[in-house]
Order: sequence, then structure tokens, then C-alpha cells
Amino acid sequence: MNKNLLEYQGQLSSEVRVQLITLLQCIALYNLGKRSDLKRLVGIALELLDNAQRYNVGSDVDFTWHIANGELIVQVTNRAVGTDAERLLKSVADIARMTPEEVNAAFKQQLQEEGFGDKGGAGLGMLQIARKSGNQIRAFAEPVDKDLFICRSEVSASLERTKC
Amino acid sequence: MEELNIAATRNTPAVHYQAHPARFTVSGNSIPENAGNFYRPIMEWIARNGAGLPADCTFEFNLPYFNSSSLKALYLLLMEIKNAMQDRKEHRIAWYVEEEDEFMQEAADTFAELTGMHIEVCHGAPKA
Repeated sequence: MNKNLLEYQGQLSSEVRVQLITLLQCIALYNLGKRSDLKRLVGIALELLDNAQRYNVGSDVDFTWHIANGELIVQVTNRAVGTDAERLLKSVADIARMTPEEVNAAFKQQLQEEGFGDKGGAGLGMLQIARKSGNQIRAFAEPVDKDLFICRSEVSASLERTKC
Repeated sequence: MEELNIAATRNTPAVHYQAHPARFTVSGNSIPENAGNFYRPIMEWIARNGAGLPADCTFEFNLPYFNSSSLKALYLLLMEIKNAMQDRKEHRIAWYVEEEDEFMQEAADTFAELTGMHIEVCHGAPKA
């Protein structure tokens, strides 16, 4: 049995998201122990689930949280329309080219921009994940129908941090 | 002064203003899908009532978890407070951080830098 694996497949509603985050807080605390970066790690999952819920076509997602070899790996798969899939890929590709200083600067600039997107996003999620993960984000989009894509976002984060 | 009393939900914080002593509080997890929709009425309350807030008003933030959409909304709320209280320097912004919580500490540092406000980092739980 892999005691550091959580898999969820099914509907992603606000209530499910809240329950998953609560569960992940417990899983992280009891498997990793008390440490100053627990919220950073759970926050990566929170941002990915936020994005999946906001841009999902339908409401089903696949979500995994996996800790192995000193790394946390979080994956979310959802369906998205073409424009949202393209935006995801572009956002991740743009961030991948940035240095940590550029990621921080872009994050602060975006934070000060007025307003929110049509779907309530702040344009900060992937930048925040990049800051929390050391920019270890990958995104994939596979067409399944006209203007419908299966999108998968994957983040890995090192656990090499000092425990409390 | 209009009342401000929003109860907490599973994904949004409680928001409350009490007059004596003057205290504005935001307390609880803030992980709504659309933080702009949640915080807009609160910003509007500050815009309408800010001039009537006492100079020594305390603004308390105790948010164990929040998403990046809320981070932006909280920045905009702090800027609204800054505008409302600009001539009254006695007010206080208290940002509660759990012990050894780098996420909340970092948020306080970011807000202080970007708003130019003095944000007092407090440990432990705020007074009820």
C-alpha cells in the first residue's frame, strides 16, 4: 500500500474542493509531520483544483496527490474548451522561461492589476504555483472533439525543507 | 454607520464590523471560486463608510487558508482601507499568522511591500 497517495475521480464542486483541501491538510500533516511549508504544499493542490473547477467543461476531474522520493507530485485532469486549453499551455510555457525573480515580479504585477477574469480568476494561480514549486509545472492538452480538450496539469515540489 | 455582518461559510470567511471598540474583522478560510464576487460588497462597504470609521479602528485578518483569487481581492480590500484611512494614521492592520507558517508570513510581507502600509504580524488567535 502506498500511504502517500490520494486519488480522486469524480465531480468537482466547491464543496468537494473544500473537503479535498481539508483531507489534504490532514494527509500532509500526518505523513510529513509539522513543518513550516505545509500550506505551501497544500496550496499547490488548491490552486490546481481552483483552475480545474473554473475552466472545466462538465464537472468531472481526475486528481492525484502523490509523495515519492522526496517530492510531492500533484496532477489534475479536466476537460476544457480550446481557448482555455491554449491559455493554460501558453501560461505554463511563458512561466517556464522565467527566472525565479521574473516569476516574483510577474506575480506582484498581476496582483496589482485591476479586476478579475470572466470566470473569476485573478491570473495568479500558475504564477503562485511556480513560486511554491520552484517552477516545476507541466501542462498537456489533447483534443478529443471539436473545441474540446483534455487538459492535464502536473506540478512537482521538492520536500527538502526543514521541519519545524 | 451601516452594519457589516457576513457569516462564514465552508469556503468564505466571516466579515464583521463592531463599533466599540472599533474593529473590522475578516476571519476564516477564503477559497471561493470567485473571490471578486465575495469581496466586492465588502470593498463597497469600506468605500461608503470609510470616512466614518474611527481613527483608531483595528482591521484584523485571520485567514488560515486562501487561494490566489482571494489574495488579489484582499490586496484590493487593503488598498480600499488605505484610501479610506489615509488621513487617520492611528488605525492598525493586524495580520494573524500561525506559528511557523511561511505562507501567511509571505502574504503579509507581499501586502506590506505592495500597499506601502504597515502590517502588524500577530501570532496566536485574535481576541473573540
